[in-house]
Amino acid sequence: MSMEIRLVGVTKSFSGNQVIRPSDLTIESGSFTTLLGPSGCGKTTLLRMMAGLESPDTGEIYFDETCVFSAVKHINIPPEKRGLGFVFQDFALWPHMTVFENVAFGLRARKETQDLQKRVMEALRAVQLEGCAQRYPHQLSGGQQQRVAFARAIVIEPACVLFDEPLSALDAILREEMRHELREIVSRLNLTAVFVTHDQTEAMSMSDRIAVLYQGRIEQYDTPEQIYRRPATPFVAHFVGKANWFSDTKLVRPEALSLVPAEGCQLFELPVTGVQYLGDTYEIILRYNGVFWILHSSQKPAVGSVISVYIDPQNIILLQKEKT
Amino acid sequence: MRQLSATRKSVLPLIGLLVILGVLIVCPLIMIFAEAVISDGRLDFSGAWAMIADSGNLQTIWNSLRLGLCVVLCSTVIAVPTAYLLARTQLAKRRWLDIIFMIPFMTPPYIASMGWILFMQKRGLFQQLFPSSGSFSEKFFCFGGLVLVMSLHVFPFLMTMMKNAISNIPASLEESGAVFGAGFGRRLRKIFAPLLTGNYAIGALLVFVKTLAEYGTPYTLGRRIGYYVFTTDIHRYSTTAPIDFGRSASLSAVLVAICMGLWLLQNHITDRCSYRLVGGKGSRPAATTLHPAGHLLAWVWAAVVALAAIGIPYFSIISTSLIHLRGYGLTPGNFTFAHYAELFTTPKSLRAIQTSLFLASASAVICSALGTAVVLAARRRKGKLGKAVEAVSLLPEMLPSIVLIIGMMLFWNAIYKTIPLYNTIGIMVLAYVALYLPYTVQYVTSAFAQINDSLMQAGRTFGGSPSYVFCRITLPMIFKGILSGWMMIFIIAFRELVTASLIAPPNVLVVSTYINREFEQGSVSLGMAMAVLCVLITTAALLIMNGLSGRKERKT
Repeated sequence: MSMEIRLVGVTKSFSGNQVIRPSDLTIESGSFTTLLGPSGCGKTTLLRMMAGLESPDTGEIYFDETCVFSAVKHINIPPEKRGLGFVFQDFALWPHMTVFENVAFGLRARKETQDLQKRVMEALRAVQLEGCAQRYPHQLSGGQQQRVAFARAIVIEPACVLFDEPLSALDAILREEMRHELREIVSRLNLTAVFVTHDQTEAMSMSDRIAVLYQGRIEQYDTPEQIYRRPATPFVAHFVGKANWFSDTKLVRPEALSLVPAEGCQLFELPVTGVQYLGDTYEIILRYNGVFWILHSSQKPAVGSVISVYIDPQNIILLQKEKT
Repeated sequence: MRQLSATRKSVLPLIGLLVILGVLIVCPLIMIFAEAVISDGRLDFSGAWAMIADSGNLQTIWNSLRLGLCVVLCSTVIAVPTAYLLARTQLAKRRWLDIIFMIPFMTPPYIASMGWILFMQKRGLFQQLFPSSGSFSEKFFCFGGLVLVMSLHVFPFLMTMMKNAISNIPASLEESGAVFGAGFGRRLRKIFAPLLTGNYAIGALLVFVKTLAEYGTPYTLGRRIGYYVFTTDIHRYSTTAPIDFGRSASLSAVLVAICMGLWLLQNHITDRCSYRLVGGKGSRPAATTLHPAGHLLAWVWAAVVALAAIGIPYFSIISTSLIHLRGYGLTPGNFTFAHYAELFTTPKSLRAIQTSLFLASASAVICSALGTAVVLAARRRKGKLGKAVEAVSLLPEMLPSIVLIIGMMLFWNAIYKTIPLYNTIGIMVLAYVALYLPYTVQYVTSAFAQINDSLMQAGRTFGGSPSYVFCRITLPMIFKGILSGWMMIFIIAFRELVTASLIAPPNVLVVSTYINREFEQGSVSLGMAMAVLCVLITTAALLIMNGLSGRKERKT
């Protein structure tokens, strides 16, 4: 019960402004794929195109071998015929329906009313809300509303669930809880999931693959590890993780900096401009050639002192010059 | 000790206000009910009931309710599609359409219905424009015509409510419907319509109440076709011999009971059926892009509504005001500005304008002061007393104005020997103040709602005394609200008809009664020239208000 989604050469402009540059993207069947990028990068637009809520200007979209959109062939299957699950950023629960009716909506709309009661309750059980079936959305907490939105998406047993920043309306603690819960259910039900977020921690921790978007372009599409260790462009290096820059195209991640000498390491003598205590570690701010570097350490150097920092040249990342 | 005296100090102004409002609003209302149930100095409920159950009265009540219901239906047909077009489609980008569709609501209803009468009557403008149509246009003078004219006046109110309600539905609620497999029809039935039911019920109820309370159109058009409703009958019994205040009071009492009941129902619906549509993060308004043909149809619809609601009445009023000799009608060479010149040269019309200007500005000033005091006092001491003062000040909003005016007539007549205010211009000012006080209270309250209490607390923290904080922080921030209230009152008071026709001293004319008198038994063209002038003055006031508040906003 999962499927591959393929986007071929899709573009989209809003009032003359191209928000999606020509893009190809293949979401692998059964994977958890995240579209990551700053606000306005086009990630939500891309997701809404898959759902059919937005029509691309050009290009084609395939669900497995079925073409659901083609600008050339004038194919555009409406959202209600695409059979996807969707979790909205604002949850989009219907305020005039009970939790049960919200979840049952998709089944009723598809006329799959056999075992309706059982299937709805099963979905609610999956999100631990069986006790809340007769309540209204406004009687639930933010986290519970989120779970209802999720139950509504999985009850129709879609081949793929799309998530549009579903955790951004929750507070920090709840967000982390839901992150685990959501990932767990998606794995258990073996769904294909496409997840949109601007939060790199969310993206890194949940995804099998991440597509980093910037200004309507897919900058890199890879596993979280590769994106962190081998960023393809300066933007990706900037946006994902922290970076200590030598120049515009040369950087090193903070954890590659060491206060202990080792074989083959380069030595840098750097002044300490600030120290912050983070509980498990000290974050030390250093100055290198007019830019600030970050180093985590269990020791607390004095502000103003100069310390020795060692870097293994193998850990230095070189980037291609940014295309302009 | 000090705390006690501080509490007393904040109670005193409230009690003072309660006394003022009591005399202004509560006593007149009590007088109505007293007049309705007391005959020859004795409580006489059976007599009161007999008077209400009189077949003539029952007919009036039935007429009113039937009219209200039909106006609700008719204005729904006009308002709901227009609201949808203005909220969702390409027409939403044309903000000027919002202003266009507010014009009918801002036009005094008696002026609009005079426009319709001039257009449709025998040898009227329609027959002059389309001579071959014969007497077709005279069919307009029936119940349906009355419903149409009243609906065209009141529909913008319902339309604005529905438009806001539609815009408040986040796009995602319908999109999720689509994603989960519901086609357009199902989304309309299961999501869109249920979400709007509460708002529609409230809007429809308010239209119903407004129709019951409306006097201008039933007076000008309804009387002509012999259709009498609450307001026209109340007016008839209190002004035309044989004057029967008991009858008008009992009708008033029934009208008050109906209106209050509907208000309660409205509150109940607001509590029960309105949904908190969480705006917040990531919610966007929805938009529908119509096909070119649909787009064209939408514009045709908007144009037809605008033509009926604005085009016809204004065409009639303006052209009539410019016609030299009505017998010749719309022919070249038969146009003149003489009627306007006459307005500014004859003492009778000049006095009417002066009186209206005086009444409008005086009542607006008093309302602003009194209303602001009410809001301030009620905010300083939120208790039962504060709530009571606020509630009384808002009471006139819920009552048909004719009822309050009848009450004032009865009350001030009764105490004439103590305070000889009746039959003077003073009683008019007082009546206007009572009627329009809710505007100031509402505007100032909403101005307060926009300022955070911490702003005032910050003023106190940085060493300002209460009066200093009031003058330097509170007052400047609520001033816009006061000003808006002032202008609103000025505009509505300037053209007020029912109060002036009931309570004006002999030989005192205001703009509205002047127009009415000229329309009925003088020079229609002169009356219409005054009507145009009246609309121009009130529009100018509105533009000034918008200009002022716009400039203030840019500065902050």
